[in-house]
Amino acid sequence: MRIRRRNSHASGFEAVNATPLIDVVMCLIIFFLIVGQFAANRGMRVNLPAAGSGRDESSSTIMVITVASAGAALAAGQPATSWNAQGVSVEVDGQIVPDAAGLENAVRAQLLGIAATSFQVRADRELSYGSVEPVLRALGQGGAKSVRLATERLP
Amino acid sequence: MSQAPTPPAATVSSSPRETPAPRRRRRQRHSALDQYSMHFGPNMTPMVDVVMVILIFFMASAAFLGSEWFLRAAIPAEQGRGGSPTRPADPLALSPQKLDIIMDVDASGATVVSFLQINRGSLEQVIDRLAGFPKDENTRQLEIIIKPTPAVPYRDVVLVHAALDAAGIDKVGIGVTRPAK
Repeated sequence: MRIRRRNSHASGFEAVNATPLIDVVMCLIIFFLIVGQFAANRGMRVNLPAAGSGRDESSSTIMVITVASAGAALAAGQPATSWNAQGVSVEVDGQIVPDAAGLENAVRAQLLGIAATSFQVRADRELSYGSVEPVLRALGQGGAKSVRLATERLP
Repeated sequence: MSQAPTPPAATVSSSPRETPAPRRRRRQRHSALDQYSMHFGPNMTPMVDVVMVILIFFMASAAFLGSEWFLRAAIPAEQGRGGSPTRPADPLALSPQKLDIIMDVDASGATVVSFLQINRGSLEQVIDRLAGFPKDENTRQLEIIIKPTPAVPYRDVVLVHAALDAAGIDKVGIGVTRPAK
């Protein structure tokens, strides 16, 4: 009598136990989140300029344009490009772009595919505006109406 | 725990009989399941498990998302007055009533900024002036183009842009000179 009651209680408890499922699903979410972050971290590492104000990125389709100083890029073993005359080295989604026309074409092709692409410009803080300007100009010529300047969040 | 241990003599005496022996022995064993059946109140272990995982999840996502943010800048189709006549429907298109922030570098290498009444003032001066803007609809409607000369450090351009963003001005453009043909 006592044993039967205990058994029915135990089996009823097991039938609704979703804890292992939630545990595993959460672990999978964290895993894919971290892997996704690493995959999205495209391009060279640059020291972003600091800003006390800004927004989070909300677009799902982004194109990352990395503008690093030419000295650092060449020291890292990257091939010389025509951007080096401006003192920069430019990458789009981790791929080196040889010149302004190449960047324009990449932007145009991206906009043809997905018109709502957000263009992230990750430029080094040590650059002068004269080095970044050709990149912005090429983006504008390629059809980008606006860009998002990546900055480091000030504490 | 509350169950008093039965003397071992009882188990020994019932062992020759086949069927009831395991059942009796199980009742007397103090296993975790046995103790749990005596437990009164909700089981906290799964809840603590899940809460810990959720905590780690939010800590990890905050560490990834919190390190940087973005300033939106329009690229005006043309340099100079007139905005972009080709795309009038674009909400970011810069209309004729706009203000310019002109940035330059003086002889000593410091950045000087001209904005409204400030003529070649320091960066701090202009940032303070922007911080003093009222947070109202008029400020929000302003359209500002930052026009730096090539020698201006990029980080100063970003500083001015961040000050505009903090003042509540969304429509910010960065002046790009037309390519020399």
